[in-house]
Amino acid sequence: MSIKDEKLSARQIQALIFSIFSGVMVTVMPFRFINVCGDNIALTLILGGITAAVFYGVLSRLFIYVKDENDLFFKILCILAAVHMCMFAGMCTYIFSVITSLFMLPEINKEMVAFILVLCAYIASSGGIKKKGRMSEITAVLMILGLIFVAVFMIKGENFERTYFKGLKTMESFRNVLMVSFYFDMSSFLFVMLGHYGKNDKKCFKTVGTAVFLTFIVLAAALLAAANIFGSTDAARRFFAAVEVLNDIDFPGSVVQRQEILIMGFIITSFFMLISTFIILSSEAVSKAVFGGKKFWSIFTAATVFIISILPNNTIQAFGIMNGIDYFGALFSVLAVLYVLTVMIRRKRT
Amino acid sequence: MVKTVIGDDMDITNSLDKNIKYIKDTFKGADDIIFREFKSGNKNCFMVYTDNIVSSDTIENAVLTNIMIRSTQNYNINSMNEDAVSVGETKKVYTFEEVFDAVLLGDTAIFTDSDNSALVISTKNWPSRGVPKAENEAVFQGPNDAFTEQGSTNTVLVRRRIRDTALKVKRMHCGKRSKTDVAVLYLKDVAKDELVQKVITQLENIDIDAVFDCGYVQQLIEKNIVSPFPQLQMTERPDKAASAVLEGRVVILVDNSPFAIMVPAGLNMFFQASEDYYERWEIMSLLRILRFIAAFISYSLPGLYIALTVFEPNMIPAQLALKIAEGRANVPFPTLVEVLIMELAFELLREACIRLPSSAGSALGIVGGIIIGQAAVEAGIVGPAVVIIAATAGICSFAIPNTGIVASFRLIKYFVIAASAFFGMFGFFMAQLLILSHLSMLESYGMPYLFPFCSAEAGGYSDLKDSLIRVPLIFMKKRPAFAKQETDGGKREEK
Repeated sequence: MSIKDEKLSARQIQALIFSIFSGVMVTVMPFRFINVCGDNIALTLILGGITAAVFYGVLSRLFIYVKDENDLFFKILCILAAVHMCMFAGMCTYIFSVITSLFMLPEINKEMVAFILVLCAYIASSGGIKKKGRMSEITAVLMILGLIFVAVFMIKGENFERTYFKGLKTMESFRNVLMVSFYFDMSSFLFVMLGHYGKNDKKCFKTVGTAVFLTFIVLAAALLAAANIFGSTDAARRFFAAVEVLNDIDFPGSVVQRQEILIMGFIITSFFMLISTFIILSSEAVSKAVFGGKKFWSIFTAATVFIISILPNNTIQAFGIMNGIDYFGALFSVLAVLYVLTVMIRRKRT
Repeated sequence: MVKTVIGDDMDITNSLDKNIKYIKDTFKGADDIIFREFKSGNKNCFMVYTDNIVSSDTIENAVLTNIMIRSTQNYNINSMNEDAVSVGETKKVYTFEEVFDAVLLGDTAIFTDSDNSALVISTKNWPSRGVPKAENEAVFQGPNDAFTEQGSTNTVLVRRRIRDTALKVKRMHCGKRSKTDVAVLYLKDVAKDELVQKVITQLENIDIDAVFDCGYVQQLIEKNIVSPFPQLQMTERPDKAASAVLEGRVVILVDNSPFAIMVPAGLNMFFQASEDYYERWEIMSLLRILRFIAAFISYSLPGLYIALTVFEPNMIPAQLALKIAEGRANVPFPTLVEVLIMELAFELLREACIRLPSSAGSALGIVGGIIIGQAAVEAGIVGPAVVIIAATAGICSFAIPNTGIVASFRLIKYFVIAASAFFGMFGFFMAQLLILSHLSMLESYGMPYLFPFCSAEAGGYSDLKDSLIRVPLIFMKKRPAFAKQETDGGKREEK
């Protein structure tokens, strides 16, 4: 579903998914993840990663089937996708402003930080999704290099003696895996973004699945580091354990004292990509559904994202709202899949 | 074709007297235009040319001598062209517009009685200073010749390096009044047709009185005029221009300008120097990486200094932070003002050194350096750390081999400084992302500006071989993704 002829290559889509969701993996996910799976981190991570990769791979293969549809149900799904993306982007902006206030700008209020992030993301969104795809090719490489750098010293400096297979219960693990997969919450994003998929449709399973799995590796690294250093109980109490972890790692010959600022570069990049991409895609979805593909001013989408970002009163409430958004995302996935199946049956009949 | 302003489209008449009157009226007051009336046998003839830009030898020996002395025939324009004029390039024209264009370009026009046409003879002999030495893009190893102000010489300098019949030179005029000669050079079987056509169309659409330098052309055919980043590359080196032609790029040579424009241009190309290919790949790859680091430092360091010292002093090791604080103890200004003072001083010094003669320029550089560096610190105007920061950023900017892109980095440095001054490291990171976002939006004639770093859509990942590192020449077998791919065996695949 694209209103402009802006096609992204498979590599760009992978880079975009990685750039967008890696920040969420480091900030939002560890707290939620540890609270769901407790001590049983490693198994849930492995199974969750594979499940999420397969799940979103299959979902994308289905979504790409309806990228050129234009009926009423499709338009309703577009609206739902836009609402979901705006809410998700708004909450991410809130979480980002909290982290920035905690680790970088304690004297500047959260609303101001959120405003600057949304404003910059809006300015950057003017180039369209194709330009965002190009940018992600560079940001993804920089982020991976940064992660490898951190991971090398993390592995070198810490001894991973703790076991993460404690308290293994099959049913509980199965439920955790499913929950974690839903935490990814990228169905609406895929629904709109795959309209720009310029490669052979059959390859989108591999494209999306690989990207999701790579993103999961970031989560794995963040979680293992946090649980190893703080222990799973302590890590479950910290909202941003993965960010705080960096202070406990010894970089040889380091000239930087507060090392969590380094990971802030990673987080800012990812959230910047997320907000600007979601502004573009939400605007496109609204444009397709309401304005027949004509231009829709993305400033309204940006304003919506900002307004949502200032709604929560505190971080706990924000995480609570994110749980609600996840359910909305799950509902969207079900509706979208049902719609795709209906279209498939309709096409087979004709 | 640009319309003439001096003359109009009036046709040459059969009456020589009318023609002479019209020409003299048009050139009235232009004392450097020479009119000469003479006879060929019994027939009246008239010659017009511009003084000092024609070859007197050619006019006297190859034209006048043959017509007036060696022959007693009554020549008309056709027979004169076939029998008398012993010059290689001649042209029969029918309008005054063509005559005026030719005369002002250094050619000579001859009219005869009862002929409604004129013979234009190539007699150009413009003053030139010879082939100079490259100064802005000097190399240790490799040719050192540079383009000159004479367009025809510049074309020769490129053609000398590419003796291929596929090298095409399309000539045209730009500037309604200046009618400056512009040559478009490309390899027919390598440069993409749409790229060549796009460049030619853009040049034809230029609507300006005069083009005195290729800087005019560059600004007029760039797509994004608001961006501080140049989307076309300039060079003074013929070897670089020839290399660009071989890569499938289009080179524009503008008369009166000792620079060539290369289209398209991406960020990576501004970091490539001719020398990179003349010396071994290992050391040149290291230098390439250094240039990229230098570019980043040149526009980021002052902003980073402000962000760290003002907002995140606890990120700096304690001893260093104390040293910086100690140095700033007597400085009355905030860090932002301190940095701006130094940056401004550095910019002024740079500008003054360029304007002054080279001997005085270097003296000013030393004196300015001492005054700004030492005296300013002693007077307590700035801290020593800021001097080091400004100097390091300045030195790094000189390591980049293209002045166009250096100017962009000089400009965006102030944006990074402002963002860092307001929001510390957060502002610093946001500024970097906005710059990256802007760069990813830019295109140069259809090529992404960040090519080959983001070239999944163009299938140009193999062009990374000539980016941050330069692989050995034997591995560089494919032409860049923006060239025609049929010539190097097989198409690229999108990744």
